[in-house]
Formats: sequence, structure tokens, C-alpha cells
Amino acid sequence: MGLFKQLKQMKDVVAETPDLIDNAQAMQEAQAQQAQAMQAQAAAASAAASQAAAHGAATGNGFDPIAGVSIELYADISKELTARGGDQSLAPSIAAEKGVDRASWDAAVAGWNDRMRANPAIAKRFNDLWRGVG
Amino acid sequence: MGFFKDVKKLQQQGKEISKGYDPVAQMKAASASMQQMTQQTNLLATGIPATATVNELRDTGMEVNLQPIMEVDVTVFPTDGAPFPATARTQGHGVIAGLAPGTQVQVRYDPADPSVVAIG
Repeated sequence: MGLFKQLKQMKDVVAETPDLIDNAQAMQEAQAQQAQAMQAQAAAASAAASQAAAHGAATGNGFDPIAGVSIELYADISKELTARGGDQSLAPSIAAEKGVDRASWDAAVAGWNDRMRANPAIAKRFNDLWRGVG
Repeated sequence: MGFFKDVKKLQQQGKEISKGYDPVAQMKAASASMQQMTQQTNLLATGIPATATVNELRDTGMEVNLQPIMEVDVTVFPTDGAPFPATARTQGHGVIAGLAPGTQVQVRYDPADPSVVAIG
């Protein structure tokens, strides 16, 4: 590498350094606070994983529709609801637009959320459908 | 092998090594990574709390202080809204060990951009 190229690179490195130092300091302060919260979280997470596994075994791992609402339809309505600001009071009317009555919607919310909490494969499928990659 | 031949060989090796080395790009990448981590940490202070299920852990290939940075795919269950997918970033072997798929975690999200959440 030529001398001028080296000098230019050095100049660029020096110009980049203040940002790097600022970001490093900000990250260090933020991470110190996060570290404590994360330690408690990790301990709680292990206990929750055991509970989730037990719950999954109890409820089964099915993708069968709940009250006539398939996971595809549930993801579709959930996405629409989020797009409209996430106001849960709008959910029954959005569900009705998709042909799902109030009672069926309530049963679907309880059932699908329960299944997704218990089984990450179902939750992942929901995510893929919501993102339009499934 | 003669001394000057050794020096020449070292010089050639040095050139080969520096061919693909771009310190400015590396510093920019480090800065961007730190900004992301700071954004996540700030979310912990200001975001809306919710529960989430961990679905998948993905390696970003990046490390900070020799700790791997992982991307966590989650499904978020807000207290007053429909579930939605999101991703979080986290680091540290101990933390990652506690994030097996199926684990329930507390997250915080920004309603203006719920696609990114912070775990904690």
C-alpha cells in the first residue's frame, strides 16, 4: 500500500474514532444496567421453559383450527389488528369482516395464544404467516 | 534461508494480510453494532412490557467482548392487543443458555416499531 493511501486510511480511522468512543461509552453504561436484569431473566427463563414443555405436552401440538379459525386466518386477523393500531376493541369487527363471529374469535384468541405459548413450532408458523414468508 | 530473504517474505505476508483488511469499515461496523445494542437497552427503560415466546435463536456472527451476539425470534403477546412477531438481540453465553425455544420471556416493545423488542 502506498504512503499516501496509508495516510488517507489513517486520517479516516482518526475521523471515525470519536463516534466509536461515544458509542462504546453509551453501550457500556447501558449494558451495566442490562446485565443485572438479564441475570434475573435467565434464571426465570429456565423455570418457565420447564413449565412450557409440560404445558405443551398437556395441550398437544396440533394445528387444527379452533372454533373454525385456522392459524392462517388467526395470523391474518392479528396482522390486520396490529396494522390498525393494535386496539383490541377493534378485533371483533375485524374478525367479523373475515367471517368470524365474536364467540369464535374469543375462543380462537384464547386457544391459539395458549398453543403458541406452549409450542414454539406453532408460534414460529404464526410469525412466518404474519410476515408473509410461510 | 538468508536474513533479507526472510524480511522480504515477511513483507509479502504482511501485504497479503492487509489486502482484505479495512479498519475503517470494521470501526463503522463496530459502531453500528454498539448503536443497536444501546437502542435495545434504551427500549428496556421506555418500552411497553409484554410476554413473549422464544421461537428460534440465530447467530449473527458478531461478538462483543468475546460474547456472541444472537438474534432471537419471538412471538409477542401484548396485554391489550393481538400477538405479533418480533426479533431481539442479546449477548452472553449465560443469557443465551436461558433462551431455549419455548421459553417465556418478558420483553419491551416500541408501539411505533413493534418489530424490534428488548428482552428483559
